Amino acid sequence: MLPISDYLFLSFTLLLIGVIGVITRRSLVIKLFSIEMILNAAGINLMAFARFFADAAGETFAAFIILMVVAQVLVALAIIAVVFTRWFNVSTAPAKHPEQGVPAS
Amino acid sequence: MLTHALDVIRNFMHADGAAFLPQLELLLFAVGILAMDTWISQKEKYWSPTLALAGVVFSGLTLWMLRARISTGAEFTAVHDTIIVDTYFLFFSALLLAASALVILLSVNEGSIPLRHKARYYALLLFACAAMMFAVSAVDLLVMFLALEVAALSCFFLAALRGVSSKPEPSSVKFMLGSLFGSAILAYGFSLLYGLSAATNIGKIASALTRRHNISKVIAVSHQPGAHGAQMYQLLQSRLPEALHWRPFMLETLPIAAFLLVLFALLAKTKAASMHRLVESAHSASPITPVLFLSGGFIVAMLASLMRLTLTVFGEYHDTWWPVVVAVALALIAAGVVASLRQKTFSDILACASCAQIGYMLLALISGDETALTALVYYLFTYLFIVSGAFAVLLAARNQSAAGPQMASLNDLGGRSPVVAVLLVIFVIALAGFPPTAGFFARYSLFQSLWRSGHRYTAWCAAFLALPLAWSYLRIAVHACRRSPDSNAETAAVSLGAPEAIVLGVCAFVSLAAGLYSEPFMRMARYAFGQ
Amino acid sequence: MPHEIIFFILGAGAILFAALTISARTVVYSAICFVLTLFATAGIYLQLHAPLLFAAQLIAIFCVVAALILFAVEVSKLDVALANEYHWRAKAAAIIATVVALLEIAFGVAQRHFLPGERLTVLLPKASFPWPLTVADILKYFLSYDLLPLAMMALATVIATVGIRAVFRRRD
Repeated sequence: MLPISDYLFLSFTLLLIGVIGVITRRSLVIKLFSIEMILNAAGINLMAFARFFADAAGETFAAFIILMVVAQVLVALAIIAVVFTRWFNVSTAPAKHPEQGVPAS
Repeated sequence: MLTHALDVIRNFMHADGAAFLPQLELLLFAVGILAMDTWISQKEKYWSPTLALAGVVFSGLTLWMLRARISTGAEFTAVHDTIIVDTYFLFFSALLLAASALVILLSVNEGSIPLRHKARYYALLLFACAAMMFAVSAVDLLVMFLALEVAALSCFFLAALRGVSSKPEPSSVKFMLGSLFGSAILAYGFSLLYGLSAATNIGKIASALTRRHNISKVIAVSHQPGAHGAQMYQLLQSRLPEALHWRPFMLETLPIAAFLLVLFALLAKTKAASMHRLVESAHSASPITPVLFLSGGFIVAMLASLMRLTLTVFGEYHDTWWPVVVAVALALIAAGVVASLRQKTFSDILACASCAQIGYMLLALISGDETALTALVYYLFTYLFIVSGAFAVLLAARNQSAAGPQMASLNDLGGRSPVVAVLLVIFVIALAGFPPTAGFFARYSLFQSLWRSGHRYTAWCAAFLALPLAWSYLRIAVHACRRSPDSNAETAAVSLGAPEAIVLGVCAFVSLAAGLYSEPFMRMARYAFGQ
Repeated sequence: MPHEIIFFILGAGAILFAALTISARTVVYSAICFVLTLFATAGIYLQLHAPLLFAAQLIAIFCVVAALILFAVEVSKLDVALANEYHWRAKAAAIIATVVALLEIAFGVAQRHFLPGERLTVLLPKASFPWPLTVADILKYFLSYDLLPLAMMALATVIATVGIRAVFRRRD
């Protein structure tokens, strides 16, 4: 197996990229993807440690992280869709889109 | 076969099942509310809050029985050492149940929740409370993470609930994204803790981190000149020769990173819960009671989890992380004060100032001793009731259409509804931290613990920032007592229904009694730590 | 050596697609890059000899793609709404992410090759078993020790069902 530090650096890079995405981007969906990227980084960490220790607990924790990614994407997209389709109509441009009124953080 | 099955169930309920029986009862009542809602008529919808309250009461009674059980023996763990029943769990679960009961009572007459969705609303409330109780009892990282996620999921839907004939507010999306961001960072922090210990149980993680910290201290001493340093050097040479090439910060980096990530994550979730309504439109008709639940119960659960992790897992690293907590706490207080001074509506002032209140609570972690932690629990306990009372006044006024969102609409509340005005002034003074209310004694205890532990500059800074924070709250009281020169001002009186009266009575009692005679309440706070 | 090459290809791919996800101008491109990031992560799980997680990640990718297709209309409406978003945000995200990733990689290479005694990962616990666990061992652990987490996921499903019915309703 490769040294554990290689996996740590990869996951830390993904964490930083995810945090940058949440802070800099205004789009809610891209913020959501950045958040799921951070969760993926946590999953890589857990699986790498689980393989390093040959421990089942880490692997099952990583499996639950993947489940959470799916659940969060489904629920979050659904809530975003319901909230913003009530506010925004494509045929008439709004004076101020509510998403633009939401601060970046 | 039936008796065998019953025996299995009975043995399970006496063993592992007893540990989560309070949560199980809440879940059963929630399912019962949903099932019953399918066949009752519109006129019988009052059964939903009745069942919800009954569930909270039954769960509270079970907590009382568990208290008797652990008073005879020690605390006990269950489900493969993933959850614990100790005095800490009992205290905070009781607090969460109290928060839920207050919100249920206030929701009875809240007109902005559509009648046909009230059953789902109460069910989501009970689900959230049960999940938060799991989070407080969890001593396993996976269970704690999932419990916090399930609680947040319930709260997403509570926050997204629309008022009657109104649009869903973008504030619910802001809360959702803020909470998800906190969860993702928390998952990463937990992955580091797992990696440092090969365990998900926080007791085992604490042992592993303690060992790591001790070796780091030995390495640091071995680099120093003198006899003691030489002795440590020889000890390392015989026991762990490779450590002679290590630097102490290499051993400390990952634990400190994990602490920072966990602290940041739980604070991000807390901030998202308390401040998400700031982007709401000025005339929003969205329900207020979910905001109260997020500002009260959700924050209690987050801070309780943070305290358990900080004291158990990161206790050994206190000397390293306390400056970070000072900086974060003072930054939160300053940000909350500045933001609240700029707000024009009652609910926005409460939302921004709650950020500052959380900063004050964090100050107790700096000292970390028994007095400070008791003060923190006392502060959390009284804050929950005080802020519930303030929201109850806002809700009662809105239900009567007697107060719009702007502060000027509170003018002459004293003339229109003197009782409501007096109660509002009590809660506002308590939040501002003036004697003889509980808010004053809570902050005084915190400052006293900081002073005694030598953090005098921090105490001075926090006390200085309390003055503008007090002014941002007192503006509300000033408007309530001021006569309105405007002829178009609000003239409607605020009448209180029975549920609002009960909530306001209980909250006012706690706000004053806990300040005038604090000993029983401090004793309750000390109970959380097994005393 | 082959493991190293596979890991570096997959890792570089994950970082590249992650950076593209946060710096894409439209949500559609961002979604495509995000799905590719998930594929790269799935490859890393396979490289770590975790076939269960690899399968779970593929199912997750399928669910994410299905959710994006389901909400494609609303997501594209948001895309149109943000067409006037200043492009400097996307460029800034790309630049910052690239700089951070390069610094990270440089530090990682330096730590690995030039500072062998200065690793952050010293003193980690030893492996509990001398060989990697099999799928059967993992499943056995999952079904015996993780019943409470499984129950919580079931509760989350119930909550999602109740909540969606409460929030998603026809206009009054």
